[in-house]
Amino acid sequence: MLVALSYLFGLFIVCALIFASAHNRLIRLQHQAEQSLSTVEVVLSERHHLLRQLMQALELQNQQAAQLLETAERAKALPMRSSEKQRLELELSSYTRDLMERPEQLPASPGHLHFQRSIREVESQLSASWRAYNAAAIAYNRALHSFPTNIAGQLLKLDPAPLYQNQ
Amino acid sequence: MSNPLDIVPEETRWVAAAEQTRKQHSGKLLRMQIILFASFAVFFGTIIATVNALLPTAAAVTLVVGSLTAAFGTGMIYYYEQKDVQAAVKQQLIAPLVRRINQNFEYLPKKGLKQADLHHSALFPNINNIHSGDLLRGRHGKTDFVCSHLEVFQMGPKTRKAPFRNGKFEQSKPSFSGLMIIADSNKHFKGRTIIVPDHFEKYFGRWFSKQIAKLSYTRLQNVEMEDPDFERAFEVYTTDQVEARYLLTPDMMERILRLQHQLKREIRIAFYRDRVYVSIDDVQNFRVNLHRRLRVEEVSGRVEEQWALIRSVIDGLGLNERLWTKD
Repeated sequence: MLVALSYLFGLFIVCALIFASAHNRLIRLQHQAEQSLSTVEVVLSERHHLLRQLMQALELQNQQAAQLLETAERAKALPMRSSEKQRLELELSSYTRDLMERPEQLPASPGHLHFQRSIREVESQLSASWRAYNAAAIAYNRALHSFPTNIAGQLLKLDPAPLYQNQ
Repeated sequence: MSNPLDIVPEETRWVAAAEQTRKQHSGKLLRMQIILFASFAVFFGTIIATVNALLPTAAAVTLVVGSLTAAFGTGMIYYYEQKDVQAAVKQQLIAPLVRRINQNFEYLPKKGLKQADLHHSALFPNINNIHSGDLLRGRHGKTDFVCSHLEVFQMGPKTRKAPFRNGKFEQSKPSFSGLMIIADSNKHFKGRTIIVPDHFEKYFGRWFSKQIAKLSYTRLQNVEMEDPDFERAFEVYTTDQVEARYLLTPDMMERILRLQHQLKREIRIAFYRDRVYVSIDDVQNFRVNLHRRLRVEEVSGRVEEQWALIRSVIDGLGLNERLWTKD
C-alpha cells in the first residue's frame, strides 16, 4: 500500500513538473508575442509623429491632411488590440503607401526628399516589426494547440493571438 | 580605356616586366630548392651509411647536424623569398589588370583581412588560424567594398587536445577557402544578423538541425523566416528579431536565394556595424607558378571571375539601391 502510494506520489511529481514547464513555456511565448506587439506600437507612434511633422513642415492645409491628422490622433489614443485601431492604422498605411508611390503629390520643398526617406524607413521598420509579431504569435498559437502546452492553455483559459493581416 | 588598340602594347609591356621579375628570381629559387634537396640527400645518406657502419661516429654527427642546419636555413630563406617574389610578380601582373577594370580599384597582394574582421562577421565559429591575402579595394556604384582571398582553419575536437604552437595545432586543410567580400550596407542597423547555410535540415529534419545550430551560435537567437524555400536553405541568427526582419525583407530573401543559385557555391552573409560580410566558398586565389612562363590569360581569367563575383554580390543584394534609405 505504502509502495503504491509512493509510486503515485512520484507520478504526481513528474506530472507537476511537466505541467510547470509547459506552463512556463506558454507564458514565455505569450510574453514574447506581447513584447513584439509593443515594438510595433513604438514604431506606430513614430509614424504618427512623422506624419504630423510632415503636415506641419509642408504646410498642408487641405481637408485630406486635417482628416489624416485626426485619424492619427484617434489611433494613438486607442489600445493596441482594438480592431478600431487596426482599421485606422491601415488607413494611414494606405496613405503612406500612396505617398511613396506618387511622391509628386507633395509640394516641392527642401525637406521633401528627407521626408520621403523617413517615411520609407518607418514603413520598412513597421513591416519588419509586424512580421516579428506574426512569427511570435504563430509560435504562441502553435504551442497553444499542441501537447502538453495545450492543457496549461486550457486551464489558464488563454486565447490565441490574432495575426496581423495587411489589407 | 578609350582606344582598345592602346591596350595591347601596354599589356604586353607589363606582362613582360612581370616575366622579367619572375625570371630574375626563379633561378635563385631553383638553386635554393636544389640545396634543400641536396642537404636532405646528405642527411639520409649519412643515416644509411652510419647504420651500415661505413662512417666514423664523429663524421656522421657532423654531417647530420650540418645537413639539418643547411636544410632548415635554406628552407626558411626559401619560404620568405618565395613569398616576396610571389607578391612582386602579382603586383606587376595583377594590379594593372585590376586597374583596367576600374581606375580607382586598388590591389594589394600582401595585405589581407585581419582575424578581427572575421570575429566581427561571426560567420566562422572557433577560428584557429586564418590565411588571407590578395586584398582588392574599391567602389562599385555607391558601395565601398573590400575583398580578399581567405582560408579559415577552425578548431576541431582533435586540435583542442594537441598542445602545439601555443596550444594551437594547425590543420592541414582549411575548412573554408574562398572569397570574403565586405561592403557597405544600404541600411542602418545596430545589432548583428548572420545567415548561414543549413546542411542538416535536408537530412535530419528541422528540429534536429536547429538544435545542432544552436550549439555553434550560442549567443544569438534563431530566427524563423516565413519564406519556406529560404528557411530550408539557410539558418538565420540575430541579436534582434525585428532588425533581422528589417534587413531580410521578402525581397531580400528572394535576392539571396537567387544569388546562391547564380553562384552555385556556398554563401554566408553577416550584417554587422553597417556592413555586409559575404563569404563565397571554393574560389581560387591569384597564386602564380614561379617556375613556369607566366600565362596572362589564366590570371586575367581569375581576376575577371573575382570581379564578376563582387559585382553579382553587390548588385544581387541590391546594395546600390539606396535612394530612400541611406546615402
